[in-house]
Amino acid sequence: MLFNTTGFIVFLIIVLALYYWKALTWKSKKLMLLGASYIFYGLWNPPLILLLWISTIVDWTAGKKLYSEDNASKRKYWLILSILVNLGFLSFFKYGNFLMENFQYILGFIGMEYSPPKWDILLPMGISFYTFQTMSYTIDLYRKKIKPARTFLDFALYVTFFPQLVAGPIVRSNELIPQFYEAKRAKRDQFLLGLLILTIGLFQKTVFADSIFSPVADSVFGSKDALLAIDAWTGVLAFSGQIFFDFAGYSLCAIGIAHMLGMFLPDNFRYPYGSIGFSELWGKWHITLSSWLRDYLYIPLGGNRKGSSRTYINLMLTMLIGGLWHGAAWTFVVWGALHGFYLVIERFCKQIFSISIKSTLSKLLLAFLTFNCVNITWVFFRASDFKNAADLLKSMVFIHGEKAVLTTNHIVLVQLLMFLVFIGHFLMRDKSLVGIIHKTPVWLLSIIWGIMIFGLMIVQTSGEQFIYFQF
Amino acid sequence: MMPSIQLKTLGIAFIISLGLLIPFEYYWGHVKHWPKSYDSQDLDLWAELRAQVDDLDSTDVIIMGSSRGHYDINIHLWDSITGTRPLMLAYPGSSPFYPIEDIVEKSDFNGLLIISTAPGLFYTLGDSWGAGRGKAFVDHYYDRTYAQRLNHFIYKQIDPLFHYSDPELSIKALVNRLPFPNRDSVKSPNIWPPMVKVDKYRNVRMISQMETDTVLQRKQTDIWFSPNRKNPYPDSIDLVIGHYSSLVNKFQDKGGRVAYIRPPVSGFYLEYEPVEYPRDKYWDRLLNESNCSGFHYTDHPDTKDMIPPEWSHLNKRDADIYTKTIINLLRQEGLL
Repeated sequence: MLFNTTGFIVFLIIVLALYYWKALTWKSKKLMLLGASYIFYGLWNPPLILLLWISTIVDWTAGKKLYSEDNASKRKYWLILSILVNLGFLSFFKYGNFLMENFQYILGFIGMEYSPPKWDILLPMGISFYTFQTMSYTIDLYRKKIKPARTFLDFALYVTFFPQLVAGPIVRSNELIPQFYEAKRAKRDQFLLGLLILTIGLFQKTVFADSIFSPVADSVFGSKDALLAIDAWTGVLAFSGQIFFDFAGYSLCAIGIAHMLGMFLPDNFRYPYGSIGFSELWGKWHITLSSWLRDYLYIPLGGNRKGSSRTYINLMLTMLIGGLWHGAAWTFVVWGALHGFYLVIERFCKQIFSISIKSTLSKLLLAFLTFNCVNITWVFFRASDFKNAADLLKSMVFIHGEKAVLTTNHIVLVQLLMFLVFIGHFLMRDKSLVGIIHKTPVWLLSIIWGIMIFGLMIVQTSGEQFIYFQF
Repeated sequence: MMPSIQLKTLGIAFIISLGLLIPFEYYWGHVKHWPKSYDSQDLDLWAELRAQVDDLDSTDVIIMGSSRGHYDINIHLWDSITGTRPLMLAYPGSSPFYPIEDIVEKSDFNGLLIISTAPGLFYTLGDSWGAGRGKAFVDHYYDRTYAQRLNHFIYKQIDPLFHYSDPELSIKALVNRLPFPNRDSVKSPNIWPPMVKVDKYRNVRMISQMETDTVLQRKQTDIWFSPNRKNPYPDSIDLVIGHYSSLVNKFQDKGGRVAYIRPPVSGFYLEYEPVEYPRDKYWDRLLNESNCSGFHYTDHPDTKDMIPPEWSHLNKRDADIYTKTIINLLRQEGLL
């Protein structure tokens, strides 16, 4: 089920009605939320609920054993079992074809012909998200950082909680499970804030991502011709806007719905396109994934504790795996490598030069440089293959290009909006959405909210998927 | 700290959204004459009807093809005359290349199949734009999720009540109406004028404004007009006709009956189609090789002089006459 559909609005109204029905006990409400979460997921493809169940049962059992077992080697086995099951599913469903293609390529390279049957594997929605979430639970138990969930119901709800099930935020168990222990009920302020945040999220997704940016990005990345630089840049900026509003919009929907239930989910985006440098960017973009990669990959690899060279290697490895997490293709690996390279360069420069940036103009210029470096990486992220990416990059630097594909309406709209996005993110980079809402006068908030509701009514997208569902 | 949002804020927001929606509805309905209608290209509505195919029997009728078959036959009038309402599976801007394959290969239907032919779409191969659209709605029928079915069920109740639910009035489409001039080499996107009203059975009626308003008609004919248009598949006629005739023969072997129809055209299409798709090389050969009946509008006095107001689709009066004529011809042939 998608947030941006009328079906979901009806679903949410029913869930909220049951949730706030006084006749139900807190346990019944949690059972209802769990059932609703399975319906939410199963309406897309019912058999794939089995994967959720297996993941839930394996990690619940492993978690209990990890907590109660004192024998170090047995604890290690339980952790390995949990990781194998989770990564096994992820590898099979997400990387099965990719691995087979590469295996075939390697055999071909050494002169052996092999044509494996094409696997028709359906990627379970949100598998990368719930896999990482449940793995964090067992790893934290192994490290004795947390206690296991008190009941199976609490744990199952943690794995399956529908607002963030398919596209995050990737929530740590100690952030969410304790919220299930006691009855939750949103006060009117929190409920209305949740509704407003949900409206903003839906507006970002349906109006900006789907209606304005997506057609432009599709047109440019789908073109077989060598494009003019203005078209190529507009297309890349459009994708930059699309992926931000798509994903940040989803996260806001999840956070807003949780608020309406009286719960809290962590921020996932904090105006990333206004970042100065890449370490700041990764503290503002998909925060729950970058902190996951930091805590469960970068730091265990040694982090920055083993000297400069090793730090650079760790950064690169983390970003390469981060790239692969986003998709089973070498273009995603290159996307991750570019980000790793940027982080390494930034770190290297900071070690060599000690420059303190104070003037707003300097900050703005550096943010602009960061923003455009990020835009270049999006070419690899969105391109269907390396040829597509190379063609577009050549067009962007005026090496070739003769074909115009975009209408002036689209060029003007995308350039203007992305200019406003950049400036807006730069100005708000140290602020939070809730803080901004808090400071906005009632009359202005009402007007903006009213315009967003109207926009959602006339937007008329046919329930287009969120980009991050495929990750 | 939690911001204090009052109910008043939400109340004012709703009033503002209504204050924007009401003029929006008024403008598109009363100033621009946009009908409140189902979407003729709604994949879910098509899939809902496609799902009914397995419940049909040999006395039932399915209409397939592109918009001419879709818009020119009044299935409710058909129902009132014959007692059976045909299942409307024709789809605008598509070739029936894959949909017919789907009905023949994957259903037990053995009634009457009426296949409408618009040459520019019909005589194309499986990799054409029109065939791609046809494949998309067949695929959607098989791939649609339960969530999509639920959305369709809910949305079906809202769709005909408001103008804002029309995809042509969506934000995505409205962006195309911004007034910035395009560069010479960029083709401006088509701005489709309101033309038809569609009901939940996918029955289509031309709106009165399109029947009479020459400005609207001109907007539509400007979209249809393409002076250098050629048949993109001149060498593929054997493959195309072979594809349809083998499917039709297979369908006939199951006890099904087939009739091709060629609905009336005017203006540019009247000049272009006979040149690029000469009747003897296409229509006559299609009937011969498929070994079935066909009704070409030029062969019948009631339809040969019909003039579709925007060159491709009939007004309500002519659509009713055309429907009656087809019913009579089918009866004469013993197909109905």
